[in-house]
Amino acid sequence: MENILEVKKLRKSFKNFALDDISFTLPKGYIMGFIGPNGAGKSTTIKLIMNLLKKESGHINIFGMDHIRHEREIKNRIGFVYDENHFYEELTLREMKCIIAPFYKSWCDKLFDKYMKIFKLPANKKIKELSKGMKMKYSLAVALSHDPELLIMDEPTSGLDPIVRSELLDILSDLIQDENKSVFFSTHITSDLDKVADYVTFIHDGSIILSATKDDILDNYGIVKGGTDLLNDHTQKAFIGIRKNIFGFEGLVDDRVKARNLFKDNIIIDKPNLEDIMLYTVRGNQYAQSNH
Amino acid sequence: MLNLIIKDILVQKKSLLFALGYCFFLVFVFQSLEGVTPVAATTAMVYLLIQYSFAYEDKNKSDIMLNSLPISRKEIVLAKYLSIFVYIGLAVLAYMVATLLVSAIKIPIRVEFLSLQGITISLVLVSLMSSIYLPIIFRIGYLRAKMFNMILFLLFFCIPMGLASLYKNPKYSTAIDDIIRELSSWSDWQIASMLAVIALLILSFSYSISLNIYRNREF
Repeated sequence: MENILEVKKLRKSFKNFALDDISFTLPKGYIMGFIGPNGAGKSTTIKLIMNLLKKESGHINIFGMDHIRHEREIKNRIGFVYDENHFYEELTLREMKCIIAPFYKSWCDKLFDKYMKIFKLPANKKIKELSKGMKMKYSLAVALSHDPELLIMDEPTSGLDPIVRSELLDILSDLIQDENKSVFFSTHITSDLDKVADYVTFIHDGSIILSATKDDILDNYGIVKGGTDLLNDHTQKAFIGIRKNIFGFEGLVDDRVKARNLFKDNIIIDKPNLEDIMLYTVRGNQYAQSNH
Repeated sequence: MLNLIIKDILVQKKSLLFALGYCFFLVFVFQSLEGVTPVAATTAMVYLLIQYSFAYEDKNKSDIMLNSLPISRKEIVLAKYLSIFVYIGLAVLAYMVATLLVSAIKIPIRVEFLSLQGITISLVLVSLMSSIYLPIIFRIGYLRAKMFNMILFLLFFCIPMGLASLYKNPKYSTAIDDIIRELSSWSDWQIASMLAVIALLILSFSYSISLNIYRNREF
């Protein structure tokens, strides 16, 4: 399978935070959700991919090419949407389009007009007069009008109301019907991914916790419930995160079969959703730390 | 590239009108200063336009957007330097419109028209000023660079004054006299082209510094 985006051992450190040798790959034609709490390193990763930040070490290949050596060619085939749009607010939508369009080799005005129509965007309004949802749609219209093969989005759904959010997700699933297109998007709203993502990469504190197909994750991970008498130093190791109270415990495991073998019929195993996985992983770490 | 320059003008549509008004104002205020008005007006206007173009960049954080487009950082920096010449053209045009209007409606003030000499001097002044100012903006951003405005302005007043006091010292005055005598034997266009070449050299040196700074910047 051809990889459209490959990140290998990417490293970047700041004063209080470091991206620690992260790696993941996105095959062509799929949507990858990039989740993690605020400050986990999502935007940093995206900025490194776009060469807005300089990496310290590691490799980033897009369309099989080095992202710096072939920067221009790659950016010609990428569409980007950020949490804020960074356009010139004083310009009208049409003026802004006229400035951006000539930079792309394959810009298509017809495509742009089509999206403007679908998203019901007023071409003669100034960008600063748009609502947050409309700004997002405008960013998306601009990002899609040169028919990109890879769409990179940084928190596109944050701050949007549920209706616009679901509209956006519908557009993404429509987009991916074209097998040549791939989407990489970061979010901290895990329910976005339940709907559209094929792959999920989970980053926490600058490290990749897991990166796999969503179905694999949801099939293997499990929420285990049972009585606290089942827990000892040995069995507790099976859990990524665990929560105890006087009635029993509830914990996350990454291998359901193993948990079943360990506890036999004394437990109940539920299917987790991505939010459970995120919460237990983040809290589980804290739990482990507090025990040290 | 051309696009980036057009963009800078498009975002400043309103400031351009303001600049024209500013010209009128200066024609009135500086009427008693012989030989200064055209140069001061055009230089100040270019200075304003450069400032504003960076202010809009800063306000919208558009460096992030520009650097995500298929544009090289070199083009972004070069566009800012080339747009200086566009601004000079606009400033000259605005000043001419202002002076022509003032003289056409016969307001009883002394109007000084822009000469070729005046244009050359403002070209040199603007080049010098931008050569210092642009690398600073590219390095620390528009907002913090504003602090340097004051220093830059003082420099522009102090340097001529320093030169004048230098002239009072007999040790230097003969040398300066020699230079002036030599230069006065030159024709106008010779002096103008020498100044232009010096200005361009300084500008290109400043450009390479800015480029180096901007290439390493992180957003």
